[in-house]
Amino acid sequence: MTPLFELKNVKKYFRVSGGMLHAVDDVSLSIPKAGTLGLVGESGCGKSTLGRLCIRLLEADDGEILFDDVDLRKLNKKEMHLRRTDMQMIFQDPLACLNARRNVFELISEPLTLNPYYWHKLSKPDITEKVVSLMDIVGLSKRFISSYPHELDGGRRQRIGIARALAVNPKFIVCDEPVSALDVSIQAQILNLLMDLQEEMGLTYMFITHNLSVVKHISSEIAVMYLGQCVEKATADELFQNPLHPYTKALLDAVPVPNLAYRDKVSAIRGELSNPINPAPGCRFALRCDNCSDACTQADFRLKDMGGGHFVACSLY
Amino acid sequence: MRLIPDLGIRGINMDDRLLVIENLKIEYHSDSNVFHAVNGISFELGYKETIGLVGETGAGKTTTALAIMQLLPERTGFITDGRILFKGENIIGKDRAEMQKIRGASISMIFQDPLTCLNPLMTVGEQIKEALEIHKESIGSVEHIDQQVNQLFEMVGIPPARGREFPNQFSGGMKQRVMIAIALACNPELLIADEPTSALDVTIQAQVLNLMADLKKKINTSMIMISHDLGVVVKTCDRVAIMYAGEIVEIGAVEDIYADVKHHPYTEGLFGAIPDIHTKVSRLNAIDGLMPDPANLPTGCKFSPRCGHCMGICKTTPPGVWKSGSHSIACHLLVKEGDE
Repeated sequence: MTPLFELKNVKKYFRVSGGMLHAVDDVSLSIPKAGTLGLVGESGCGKSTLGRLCIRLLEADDGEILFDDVDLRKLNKKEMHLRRTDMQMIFQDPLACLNARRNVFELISEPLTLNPYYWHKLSKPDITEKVVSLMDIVGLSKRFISSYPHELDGGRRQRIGIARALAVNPKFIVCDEPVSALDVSIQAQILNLLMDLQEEMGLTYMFITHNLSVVKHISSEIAVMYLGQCVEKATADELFQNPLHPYTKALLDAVPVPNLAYRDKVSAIRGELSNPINPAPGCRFALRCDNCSDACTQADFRLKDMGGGHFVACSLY
Repeated sequence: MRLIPDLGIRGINMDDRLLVIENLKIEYHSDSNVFHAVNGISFELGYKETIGLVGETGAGKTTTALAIMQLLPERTGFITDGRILFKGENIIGKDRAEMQKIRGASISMIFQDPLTCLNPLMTVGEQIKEALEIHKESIGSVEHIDQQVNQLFEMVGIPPARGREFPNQFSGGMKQRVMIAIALACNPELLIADEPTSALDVTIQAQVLNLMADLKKKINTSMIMISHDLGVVVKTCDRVAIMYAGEIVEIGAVEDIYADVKHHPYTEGLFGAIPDIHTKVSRLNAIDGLMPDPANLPTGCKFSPRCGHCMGICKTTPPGVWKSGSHSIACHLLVKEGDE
């Protein structure tokens, strides 16, 4: 299957006092049409930065970002603006990303009035009709059309965020921790909604999260990030059944499982993320790794094909 | 017949109980509304025991914790009924000076977000020292405070030299370790941990949970663990209370909640809503609907509007309690089966 979306050697460094912060360091990924790539990692691993680079909310320093074989980085501002109808983002905290002074109608219609693609194409009644149908799609009752975000609960706010993203009929959506701020029962509702929408509209997702159970549930493929690098990628089932990288193993071990059988399992991972500013060469997980050898700190490791679409960057393999 | 207040009472020997909460009701008042945050909950906590309060936002978990600490907002939060017996003594209505002697010394609390709870203008060493100095009369050691601070740092796994640093120089996990050191400074008999690891990454969460389990064994403190994460609760707690809309709907030993076949429909909903890391399901069983508005709670069973098994009686009458050993459930379905 040809990928709808592809990243090739994408890099993003931030200049900070003390040097260069390697937020995203040489990441290559691809997502097939109507697939879901889960991007997991802990805070500071660069997953949100990568999500933003994908739709050029941040500019990458290097590499190619291919959407339908077009390098987005080569588009000028106007071309990119028009292209954004194909790619949208759903953010983590719906309260923080919705304008508190706009009501639901204004919030959901905003993408339609802002994007030049829709200028002079939609009349006012068209827009109203579109907003109402979007509200229906995401499961927001019509009576909320003139409510303000603060009047709604977290789940409904996130539905507004999803409706906004869907307004311009995108093909590709970057979901940046869309359920992390929600309660479990509401989280399940939103996950089901996202999966239903994908089935009905053939959407392609990049799903960014720190929650491993969620990512397993929703993704077809998963990439694990650690300090700006992709350390392992595989299909969801393969990654969970046969994790290869020591970090992936540690991560899976650390998840508290709501089951008596796993009650006394003790996670052995030690230490914390090391400093992403001017990192030393070699594996960035080396300091926390029990299998660390001299080879680990000498050279960088590239993703190695282990067969069956399973890639890992580690000196053990 | 209203049995809910008895739900969490096992009737163990009075001397074995550190904390007893009886029929606690708490309201928040705004200009126009009364919000029923906690609606008659009862549970008890033995020495060295850990109880988990599980529920979603608005279930009343944190309000219960704040009531035990007597830290409810003075002008808006009111305890309208019930008793909170700490070592046999009702702490509701104690004045500020009395509470200050208890808070931090006998009962202490770890909050969810360590960043907002630490003073950004004081070094972390000073903040731990502060806890010891405030309570130096009751704990009776004044001389070696600096030494004690260093011991606390070592206990939570922070090099004592870092005591001169400010909170912003610490990572989230390290800040939470500082909070734990402050909470444990005076060897409290009861530790309330309000979502202590919810703001942390999984690997750091695992470390902090390990640390808390080790320390709990070492200093023999009782604990109330507030969490929405059923995985965290199974790892840390001896007993679990599932809360919904200010009530305990199910309570029991960890084994009852995680291994028994009988459950409150809300508990079943909670378990069904989490994707399981070890099994594959194509679709999650989300609980339909939303938490009820605490200003306008449904009559009868509070969960009835969202419940798939809702019967006529559920809408009108609060459920009685089904009991089997240490396991209690407040649901008409089970009571109807006629066990009690």
